[in-house]
Amino acid sequence: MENIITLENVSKHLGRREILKNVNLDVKQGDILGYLGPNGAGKTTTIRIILGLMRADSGRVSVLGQDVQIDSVRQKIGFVLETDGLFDNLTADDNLLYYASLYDVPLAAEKIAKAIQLVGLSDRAKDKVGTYSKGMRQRLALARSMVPGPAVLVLDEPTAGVDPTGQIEIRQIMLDMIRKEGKTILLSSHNLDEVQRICNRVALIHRGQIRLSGELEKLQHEMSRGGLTIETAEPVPPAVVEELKHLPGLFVREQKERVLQLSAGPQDVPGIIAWLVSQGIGIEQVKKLEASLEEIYTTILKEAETGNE
Amino acid sequence: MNKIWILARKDIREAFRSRSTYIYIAVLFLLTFSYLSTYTALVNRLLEQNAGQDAIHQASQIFLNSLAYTLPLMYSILICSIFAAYSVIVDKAKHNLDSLMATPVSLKKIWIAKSLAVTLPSVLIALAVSIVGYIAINIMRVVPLAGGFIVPDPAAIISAFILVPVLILAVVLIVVYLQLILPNPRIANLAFTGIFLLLFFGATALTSMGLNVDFSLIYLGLIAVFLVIAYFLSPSLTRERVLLSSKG
Repeated sequence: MENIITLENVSKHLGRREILKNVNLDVKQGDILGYLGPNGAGKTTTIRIILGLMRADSGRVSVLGQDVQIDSVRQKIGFVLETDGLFDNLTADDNLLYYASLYDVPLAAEKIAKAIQLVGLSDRAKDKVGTYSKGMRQRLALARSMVPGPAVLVLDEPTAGVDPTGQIEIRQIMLDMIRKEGKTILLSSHNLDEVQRICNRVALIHRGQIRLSGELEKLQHEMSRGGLTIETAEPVPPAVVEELKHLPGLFVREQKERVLQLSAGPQDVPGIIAWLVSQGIGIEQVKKLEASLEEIYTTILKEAETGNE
Repeated sequence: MNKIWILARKDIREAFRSRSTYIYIAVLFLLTFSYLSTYTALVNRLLEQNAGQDAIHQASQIFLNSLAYTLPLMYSILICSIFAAYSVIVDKAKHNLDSLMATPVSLKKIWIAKSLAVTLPSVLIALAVSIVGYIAINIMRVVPLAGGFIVPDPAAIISAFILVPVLILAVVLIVVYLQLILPNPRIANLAFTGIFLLLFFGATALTSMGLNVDFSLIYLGLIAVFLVIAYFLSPSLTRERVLLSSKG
């Protein structure tokens, strides 16, 4: 698939502080890439560089194959920044019309009405934005990002401050943009649940370095580290669990009622099942355990912290 | 040019929504009346010296020429500070500039648009107030004391309608540049107040002395200096500088 956003060995200093260290990142056509990291990790700086608001000290940054410092490239990039950039004294309609005119959007009025409807603000479109709640402003900022019909959207915490129902709606809008309109999205977020629900790829940045990136599903398999869930017909007797702990090549993570969570190499799984059956344990289901994004996130950050010490 | 006008028009509209803009306009009218007493004092001095009607007419012409040269410039500068507050300071404080810079519009165009949003309404208001003030001084003082309505010299008219707007734009370009890159843009706004005070006291001194000063040359020289400064400053205006100078 074609790379829509590419960062190659990008470094950035602000004063003496190194904000980004040889960052490599690519977002391919049709991706929703979840860009994760703790506060101050370098997410916003990366986004600013992608939007051409900052220059990388070294490395290469391109969007749709072009240098982001070229003004016309931004014609194809929709954005939601940390601050919404909306004008309090203008109505929602006028705010979007103003931005649309900066992008030379044809049939702007129609597109604006559609975008405002999509984010559920039609009944407040004629109200001044100064009267909007934080969540409504975020929705409007998202609507603004859609109006120029960009090929790629760079969204910095678009659901921050939005109520749970609104978050679900915004997630659905993002998914529709990918599925129905073939857009590409880079989504910076602290909401791991949100990222896990909608992103197909993730990248994790910590102290200016990308610590992990790839397809979420693959990462979940890899990071499960041989995790296995076995559901048994009856609760496993403690004595059997104790014996199980002494078997070579496996680690008992947890045992609750009829659920046994283990870590084992794939070659060992048939032997473990056979051993349990020989102990009179009925097996109902064996599932490969997938690490949650939260587990991946905390594990990688812990490793990074340990490595840095 | 179209994008520049779109940006500038929005800022101008926002400024006219504010009451303080109208208060400033009222203040300008009040300031104009201070020239009535200046003119009266000038004529009284001439009368004490037993000057004839021709001498009074000549002195009045010089006085009114000086007004035509200086009033539009002073008033433009004074009112620039209010328009600059809406065009740059508010946008910067609310980080709206960040979003504007992420659009396809170049930073140079944003700079020029913001400068025009400050210059155009300021100059138009200043010219309107100056014309009204000029007519009022003529009707209330000049006609009774000098014996007739005095129109400024063509050079003074050209200066008011051409040189002053260009000079204001040149000054505003530099002030807006500073506002864009300074963490506290209000500091740059003080430049307007400083220039206004300098012009106000300088012009009052010159007009009360009845000196015939060639303002056109001074303005041309200043325009050249300010435009050269703006030209050399422009490469150092980057999105990153503007972004990082915004607090918060």
